[in-house]
Amino acid sequence: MALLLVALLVALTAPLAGAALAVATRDTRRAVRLGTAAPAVAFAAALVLVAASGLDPSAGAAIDWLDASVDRTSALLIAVVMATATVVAGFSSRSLDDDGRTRRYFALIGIVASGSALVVVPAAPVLLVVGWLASGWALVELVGFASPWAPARRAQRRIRLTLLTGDVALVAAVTLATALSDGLLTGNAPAAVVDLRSRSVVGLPAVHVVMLLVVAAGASRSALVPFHRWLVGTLTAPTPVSALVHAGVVSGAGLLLLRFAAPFVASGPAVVAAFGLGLATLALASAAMLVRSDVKGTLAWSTVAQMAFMVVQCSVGAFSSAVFHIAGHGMYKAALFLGAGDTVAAGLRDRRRPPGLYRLGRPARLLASAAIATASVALVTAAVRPDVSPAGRVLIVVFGWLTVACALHGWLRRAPFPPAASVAAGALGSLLSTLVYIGGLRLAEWYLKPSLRDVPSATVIGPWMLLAALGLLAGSAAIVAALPGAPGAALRSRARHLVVGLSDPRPPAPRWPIVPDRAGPQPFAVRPASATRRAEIRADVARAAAVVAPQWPLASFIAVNPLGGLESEGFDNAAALARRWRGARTHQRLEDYRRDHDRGLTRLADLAHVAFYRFTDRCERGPLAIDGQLLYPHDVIVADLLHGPESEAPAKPPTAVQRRELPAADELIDDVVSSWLAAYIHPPRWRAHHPGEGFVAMSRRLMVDDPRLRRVLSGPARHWVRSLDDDPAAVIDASLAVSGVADDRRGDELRSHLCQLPGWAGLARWRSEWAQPTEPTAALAPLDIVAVRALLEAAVIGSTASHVDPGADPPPSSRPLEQPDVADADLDARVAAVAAVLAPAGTERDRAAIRAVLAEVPGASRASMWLEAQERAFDTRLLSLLDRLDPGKRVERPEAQIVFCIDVRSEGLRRRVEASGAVETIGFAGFFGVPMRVRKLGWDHHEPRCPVLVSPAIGASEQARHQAIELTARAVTRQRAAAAGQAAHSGAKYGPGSPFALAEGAGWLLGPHAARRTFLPGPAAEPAIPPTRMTLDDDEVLLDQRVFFAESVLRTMGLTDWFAPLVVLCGHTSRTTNNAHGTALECGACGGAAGDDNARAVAALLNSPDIRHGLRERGIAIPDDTWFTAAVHDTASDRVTLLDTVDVPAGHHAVLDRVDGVLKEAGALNATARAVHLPGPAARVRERGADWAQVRPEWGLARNAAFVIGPRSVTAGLDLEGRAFLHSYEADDDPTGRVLETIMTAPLIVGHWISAQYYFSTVDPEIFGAGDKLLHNPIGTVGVIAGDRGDLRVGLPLQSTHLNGRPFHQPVRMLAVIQADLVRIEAIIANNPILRTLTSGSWLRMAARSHPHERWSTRTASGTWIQTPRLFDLDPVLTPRKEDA
Amino acid sequence: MNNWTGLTPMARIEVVIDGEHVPTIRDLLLASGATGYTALHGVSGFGHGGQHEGRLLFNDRNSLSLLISVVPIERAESLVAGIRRVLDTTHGVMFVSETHVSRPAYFTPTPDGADPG
Repeated sequence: MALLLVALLVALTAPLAGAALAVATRDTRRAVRLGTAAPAVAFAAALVLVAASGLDPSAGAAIDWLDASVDRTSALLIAVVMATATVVAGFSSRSLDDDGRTRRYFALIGIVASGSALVVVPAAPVLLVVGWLASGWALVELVGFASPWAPARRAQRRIRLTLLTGDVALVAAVTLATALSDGLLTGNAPAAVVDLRSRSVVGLPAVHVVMLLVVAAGASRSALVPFHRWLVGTLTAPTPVSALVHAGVVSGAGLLLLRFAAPFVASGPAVVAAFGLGLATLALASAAMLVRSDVKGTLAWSTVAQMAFMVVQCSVGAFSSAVFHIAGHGMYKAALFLGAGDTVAAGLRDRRRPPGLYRLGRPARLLASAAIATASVALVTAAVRPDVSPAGRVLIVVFGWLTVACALHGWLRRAPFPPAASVAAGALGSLLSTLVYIGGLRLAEWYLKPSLRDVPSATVIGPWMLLAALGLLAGSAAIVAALPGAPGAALRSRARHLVVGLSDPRPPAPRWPIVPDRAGPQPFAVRPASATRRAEIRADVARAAAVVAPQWPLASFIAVNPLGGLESEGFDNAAALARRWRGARTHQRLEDYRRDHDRGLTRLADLAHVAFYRFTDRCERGPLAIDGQLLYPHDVIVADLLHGPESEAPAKPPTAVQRRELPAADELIDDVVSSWLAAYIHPPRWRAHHPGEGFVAMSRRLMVDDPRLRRVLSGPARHWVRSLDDDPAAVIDASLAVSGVADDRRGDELRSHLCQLPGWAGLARWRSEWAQPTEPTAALAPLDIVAVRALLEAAVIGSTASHVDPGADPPPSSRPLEQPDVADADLDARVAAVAAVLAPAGTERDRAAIRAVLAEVPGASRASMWLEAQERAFDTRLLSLLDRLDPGKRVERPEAQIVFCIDVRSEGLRRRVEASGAVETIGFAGFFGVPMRVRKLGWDHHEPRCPVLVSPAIGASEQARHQAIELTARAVTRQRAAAAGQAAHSGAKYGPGSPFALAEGAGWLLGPHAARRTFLPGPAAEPAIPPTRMTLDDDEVLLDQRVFFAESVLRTMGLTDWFAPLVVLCGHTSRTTNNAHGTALECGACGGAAGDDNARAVAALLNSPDIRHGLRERGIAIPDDTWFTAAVHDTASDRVTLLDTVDVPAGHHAVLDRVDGVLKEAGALNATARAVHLPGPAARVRERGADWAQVRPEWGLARNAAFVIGPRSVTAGLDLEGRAFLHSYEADDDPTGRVLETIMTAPLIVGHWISAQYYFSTVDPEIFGAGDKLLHNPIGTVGVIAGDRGDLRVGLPLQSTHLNGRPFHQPVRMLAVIQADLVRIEAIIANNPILRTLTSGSWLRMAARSHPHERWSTRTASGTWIQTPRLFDLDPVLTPRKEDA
Repeated sequence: MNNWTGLTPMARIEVVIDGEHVPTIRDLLLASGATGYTALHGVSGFGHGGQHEGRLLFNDRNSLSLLISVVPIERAESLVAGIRRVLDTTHGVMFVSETHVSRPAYFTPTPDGADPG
């Protein structure tokens, strides 16, 4: 018994001890280890308890003074709680950055774990209360963990209030119970129940009062009606916290009802109350799940429904089923939440799978599903014979049947085999899964029977009552779903609005007066807009939309310049406009620049140089005498740069409703419009929009009836909305008139609307300006978004008493539309700071002298001076490194040539490959010059594989090899089966009443799977190389055209002679898991996908005899013994896989093996070098991609800074630290300059986009970046929102640009380094407006030299070339490596 | 139909504009009731913005495009107003001329198209 005592103590308190130690220790890493180990230790102890109670069910009172005992139920539940906590802690250990609050996080997890365990263990009532309160408190703290973020704080407040009700109820119940009886919770339940029955409180039998309070407490903790709204608010917490909440804490009702099982069953009113609340919540939450477009929102409502199901199980007396459910569902939800990042990849995979081959008609499907489900359930129930009350049996049978039927229906919808085989396979599957499910339940019943022997298994809810209630629910649902015609549609619409209203966390009550039926002039006079006016509005919206950049969907993320629409303004003006209109930072904070300076990224000489050239007039006025020293004006400015106070952050200009001081209206409008956009772009299961409806039409229809707007829109407002037509421009005109916006301010107003929803606006820009014609996503344009948002704003304004008639002057309190630029840091403060450093003992005269200088230096210009200084320092270092003689062109034939993508991640690999000897490397855009659309094996559609600047010109398809047709056919069938399996899973997840048994059962499989993924991530699986070949479609395009492609590829690469025997085209990809932004790491030149298809197709093209013949005629003679082959470089693991090796002729096998060996070695070395900058064990750096908890599988293109165009000899052997794009170019082989122009107008532009994306995502991660990955909530494959509502996030996530809260990427503008004739470069710039814009606007810097023996010259924005000075005092290293200050 | 060839007069609108802004012009054309347009991409030239190279090998967006559309004269006003608005802030030119077509119904939108207003 001593063992049991120890085990119990350890199981209960280990996490708590871990928490305490974690807070006490100084070292974060140790805190993390403690925080992860403590629940693991508790889990081990719990396993001991499980074993002990398993062997001897009557393992009795283990701790007398706490009245604690352990039985099978509590042992099992403690084990599950601790297992979940361990997995969550393990996941968090790799996904949380160290920003100073990590220790607190792990401490809170420990408290939640221990608290939950205390609730479960039969012990003194005070422990129950302590555990309950502690876990609730810690939960709320964890939910607000991202607390600087306002939505998290708000969610925290609301949740705290909701849970408080339950806490009070529980305390009252326990107090009453302990006062009026003895041993209720500690082993003498039946006697205690008798006591409670006989006593009374406020005129009612005590047992009823106590149990109703307990039911209330449970309802609050498990989010039952009316407390159902709090759970979806927890989505503002990081993912692991959500997993913990949904897996552990939220099952409070079930845990309580288990503890109070005996009195509960004895109290009819309590049982009925629980049953009623449970069923009502079940219905509401199941419906609420179907109207959400975001993954986490769907999961959250699913949890609410599951908790309701659990309470229903308890209220019919099926307690062992409830325990099975708590455990199974907990593991299921934890696994799904932790793996939410897989949504995008899973969606892509599903889209690419072949469709079902054999379509069964709908009636046949329904019949087959129903019949097979009935047969399975009947057979298994007869065989296994569940040992629960009749009502419990009804639950098992009904819900088991529903799950099996829905899963089967999904399977048959994408039947992968001929009909008979599919049905047979489905039948087998359903029989097996039913057996597993009901068998599992039976096992649970048997196992838990000894610990539940005091609990009667039947309650007042009999099987017929249950069936009647379920029948009522099912009947109503069926009527709503199936009623035909217009009444049906109206009913469905009403029902949907009801569900949305009941499930949305209550919007803040409007604090502005609504005038329902205002007297006097109506603000809603409709005046039709002329066609001219509407055209002008369209033009204005297009112009306003320049302020947001197009945003590609996550299925194919493309890095773009967030200020791309403002490029023509030049960098400084565009940045100023971004600050004014979007309230965004456009430069780092001064403290970040200073920190970089301390690390050596800038030198005083750079600062002085920049200060001097910026303020030449001032600085040329000669030195000043300050405090007895002779100081130059630039010294004063540099002192301000180094020590002056920060400038203020910019603020966004107010919108129309803000100007009218309608508090919180903006939030409401943005929330509602965002939810409509989400429902439109990624329709949920229960669609909101009618087929063929555009966004404006759908929104107008919803606006009139949306319950969230009920209280803010008056009757006339709704009537007006209904009366408008669907032309977005007309809607905008009418709305601006109602909002009182004059024509001359229209442009600013439109821009302001777009800036409130820049993520959705960016997606709309992509959809209307860049998407392929075959794009399946619904059509959306910025015009539509502005129309809807302006309309809603106008409706709100028109409903309020503060409406101003058009033509009247704006009220004096309204603020101007434009904010002034960043407020200047107070000049006095700057003078004081500088004086403190330069002249500490100085006089007023000294300060006046300093003031005179600083008065001419705007505070806001300091950041841009720092930027220039950093760029100057970088340029100097890079150009010094490159300042050496070019050894000249190759003179002998290399053994092999490998063509890599220009991507910066190739740089390290290329260096190491070349170090081995006779392998030459070439840099070229990763799509290898052929803009193609690809159709892979089994696909029914094409996908583009080229830069987004080009349209695909030719098709390519993957076909089975002759000798492997059957193998390939089987692979396709496997894919079909996988798709059908996925459909079965979705069918069960979203079908009517089907998720409950699914979660219960599947959890027991997914739980251990999640644990394995967390603790044993395992090496990345070697990708299976399919026995296929990839070829360009030669029927579509003539031979001449294909020869032209081949020629342009080779000429642009500079590979027209000296071909090696083996030429490898090496595309790149990044294999990561559980990463919503995974495509951001793929090849941008291939449209955000892997480059292996292009490599294979182009290699096949260049091997073709016809093509080679044609090339020979055009002057490129490829030797007969040269063979092109393909490879793919996985940048996450630095493994290079050779493709299509079976095609390589026998004579080349030796070289191929050598190349393979070289690549393996180079990959290993490169990975080791990369490991220096990545947190975590260096030995596992190559497995980061396979680790689902890893938020930073690789650094991607972070720290990119330069683009080198020239022969490899310019950069060979130099360690450029993975910071440069390298494009091969031989000026001698380019007599007309066309090749250089091609490179400068395509790959260089793409490089600039990448550089700008990383720049702005680093300087303002909230506005130009997507923020913390752990808060991301995917919406299909389109994008992510943060939390449970709001705008789409744009740009790169925080973990791609920052480390531990500090920038990892150095935000500087890209430097293009070109070895070519300067005159030619100037001509190309002169001929191409885009290059003129980028160079004269200072978006891109440029350096060049005409000949290898010349010095490098830098180009100024105005077009003059200045030779860079040679500096001898620099270490030959690109980035200084002084320790962090 | 009142001219020497017996054809119907219509307005011909030609716009030379940067590839980036083609979607905007396209949208204006279709919203104003044009039943179609012709687009020539990768045109070269010389103008206020400087020299414009023609078709680039790997870039369809940063070269000039020429859009040609024919609309009934009563619809030209709104379309021209919209395009003028766009050209207020970007480089590009617009030419409006009278032309004649033999199939006026081809270029006139059906009644449920955008109304002239």
